[in-house]
Amino acid sequence: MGIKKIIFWIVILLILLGVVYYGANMLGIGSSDSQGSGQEGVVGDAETNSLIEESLIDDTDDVELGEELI
Amino acid sequence: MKKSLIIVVLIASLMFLSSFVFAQSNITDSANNETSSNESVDISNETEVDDDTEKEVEVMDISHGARMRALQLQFQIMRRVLWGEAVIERLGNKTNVTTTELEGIVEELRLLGDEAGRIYNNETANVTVQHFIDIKKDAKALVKEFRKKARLLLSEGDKNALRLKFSEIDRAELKELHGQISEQRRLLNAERARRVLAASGAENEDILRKIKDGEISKREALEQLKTEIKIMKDEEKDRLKEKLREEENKRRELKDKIVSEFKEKRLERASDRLADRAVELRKKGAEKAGNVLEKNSEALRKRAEKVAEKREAIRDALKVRTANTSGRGDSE
Repeated sequence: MGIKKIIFWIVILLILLGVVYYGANMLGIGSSDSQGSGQEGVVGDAETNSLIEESLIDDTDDVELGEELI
Repeated sequence: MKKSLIIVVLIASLMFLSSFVFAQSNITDSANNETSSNESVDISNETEVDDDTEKEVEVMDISHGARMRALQLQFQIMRRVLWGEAVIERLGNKTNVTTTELEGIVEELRLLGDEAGRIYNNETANVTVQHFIDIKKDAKALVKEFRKKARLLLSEGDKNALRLKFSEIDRAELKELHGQISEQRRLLNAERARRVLAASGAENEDILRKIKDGEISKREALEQLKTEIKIMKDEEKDRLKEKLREEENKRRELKDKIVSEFKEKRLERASDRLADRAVELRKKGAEKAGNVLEKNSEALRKRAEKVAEKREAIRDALKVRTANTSGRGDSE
């Protein structure tokens, strides 16, 4: 196999990787939004899971009054 | 072959570059959005509702959520009242330092704390939420004003000593309020869990009881809810997702409606609220003036004047807005 053919296939591979990366970006796959909470017990797709998890509120959830006093 | 190879290499490089640029532009956009939202929080705009507040009011569609937010607001305000008193006490030991203005601000904050404690009666959800945002906005402005004035009078040593004192105050004085907030949070979570179970067609009173009684943490509650849902068929899970999505959309729509209603009449309400507070402060000042041991009646009287001045400024802004609106209406 000549050097030209090797370069050709590397380039084709690069194009494919580019397409996959671009497509994934467009669909939001792999972004922090679509990643699960990292918790165990996923019950369905990411959206159902997140809807269930967001239904309950944390102990740390509080009213934010802005700056401290001093 | 060479030409086509160069073209292919160029296309591949462009695709890689564009995908990175695309990803990068998303990051930059979100960073810009954050910056602009931070800036908008800094601008003292009476009708603006910040992102934190918008998120906070989302749980107020349930009565326990509304009660919890009202109590949390009262807690945060009273915490600052107690901190403010500690600051004034420390400054009182210094010579050539006047704390009259700070005392007035603390008294006004105390009125807001009391108001937050009364926020949830039998009012409708919309009124409660607007009331919550009104009080929060006013309190934030007062905290900012106090901080600006106090920082000029306090040394680094004072600040460090005060911070230590603040942590003690938090633990002791506000314990009861903290307990009430935890109770409302548990009741809210139990109600939310009940809705998830109802949407999935499941029933499990045991989970709800455990959440209400605080026997299980949020994480454990979620695990138990998921166990109930895991055994469901795929179609049932899809229906559950639809229902949960609908509920979330309803919550967001209600929140958007309330926030936009809040903006519409904020200036009018701000003006009325300031008038009421000026009256309250004058009344408190007069009561304390009768008692020779009370030193801050003067502070209250001065604060009442300042509040009345602010009210006048808001009324002027309202007049300008009304004139502009009718001017636009006439030209149309």
